[in-house]
Amino acid sequence: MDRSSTREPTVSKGDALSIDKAAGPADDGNLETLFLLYQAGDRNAAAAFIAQISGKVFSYMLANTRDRQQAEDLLQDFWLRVHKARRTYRPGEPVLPWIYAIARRVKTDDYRRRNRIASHEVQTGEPPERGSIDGHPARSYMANLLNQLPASQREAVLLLKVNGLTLEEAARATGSTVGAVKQRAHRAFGTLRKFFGSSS
Amino acid sequence: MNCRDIGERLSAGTPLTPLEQEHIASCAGCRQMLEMFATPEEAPSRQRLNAITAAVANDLQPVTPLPSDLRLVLIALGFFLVFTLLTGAISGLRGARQLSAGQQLPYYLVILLWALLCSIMLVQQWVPGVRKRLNEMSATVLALVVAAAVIALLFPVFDTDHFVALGLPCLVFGSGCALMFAGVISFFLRRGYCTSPLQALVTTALFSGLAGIAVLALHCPIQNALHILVWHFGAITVAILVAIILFRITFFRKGA
Repeated sequence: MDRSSTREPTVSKGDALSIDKAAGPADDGNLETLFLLYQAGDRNAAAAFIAQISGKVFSYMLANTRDRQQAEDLLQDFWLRVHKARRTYRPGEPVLPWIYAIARRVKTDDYRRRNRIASHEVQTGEPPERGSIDGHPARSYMANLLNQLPASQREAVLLLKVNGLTLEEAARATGSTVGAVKQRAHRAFGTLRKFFGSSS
Repeated sequence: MNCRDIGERLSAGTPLTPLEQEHIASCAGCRQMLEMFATPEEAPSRQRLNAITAAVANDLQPVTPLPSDLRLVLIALGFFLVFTLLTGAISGLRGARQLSAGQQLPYYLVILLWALLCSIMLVQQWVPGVRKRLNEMSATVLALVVAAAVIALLFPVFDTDHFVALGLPCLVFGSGCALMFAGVISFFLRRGYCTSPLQALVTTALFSGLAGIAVLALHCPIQNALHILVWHFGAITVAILVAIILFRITFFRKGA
């Protein structure tokens, strides 16, 4: 991602939001500014925010579902909820934990819905062909390994290492404490490390 | 420096030191694990992204963000105080009039502090991504134990004469107040977004049950610890049961 510095947009609190528009790198400060403008009804900011965040959330959904079509459906559901809940983001708060807290809810709701449907369905024929996970072999390998972890540990690793959140951000996104996230991640890395054999 | 140290560093989320980087360079296992995480970010299809952007743009109205955590907590606490004082005043303050100043202060203070804890828990549940300041389970257990201890000390009567006949009207009244409070506070909560529906419902039920207890503390003249702990606190039990039933109805409908 291009991290060349550009003039940072300025935003003041209150009804009149002013901005000197700039594309800016996708760091947290820029994301927060974009989202504040999205809240204020700025279409360009909304589109830019969607463009910058969708990759992260799509990767998160894909790591959990392992199906592109399903991940895209969840992404669409996610944005619908973000749009409806956009007033719950407050200026000055980090935006990524807010985003991932909603993404987590979307993922959990989908998981529960599929389980409920599966418990009532009777298979009468061949299931339709599923959209495949991406062809990147390393990602498939990672997904296979992460699938062997308990859900809470898998989530900690995904948020910290794949999605690049800090401990504090991951704690906020999961509604737990920094210590709890750190412990889950530590256990996860310990388990994953065993898959790669002893050190040389 | 060993592989376990690398795992601790990774879970801490801090940059690797030169010594740790040296270990990774020499340890194939650790290196392969880190390389596994370095896969490129995936992107959704352009078509889907355009559809999402168009849907958002078609419905784009300015919204006012919610206030800060502190203000939300104070607003929730304010709702609680106004509701309990108003309902208590309407139903009659016989309970409050029976108490001495030395009894009123600790009794109402412990309820108020419990309400403050509930307000904090409510904000944690209804605003995504907030810093978790309270462990809900620990806070609730602590508040229950402290409240029970204060009540047992203030009203050391454990008489069971006409226990059910005297207690049931209090349970019904307290539960009714709890459900009314839940209805009132839902207007406040509608502006939020809960990331864990069951936890949010239980927290709301707990807060509502506490409102029932607070109204009874003002209204009920019976100064019997057993009566209060069973029949007044029973409002919380009823509220939580209703919350769980609501959750099952709302989230476990067939095909939903």
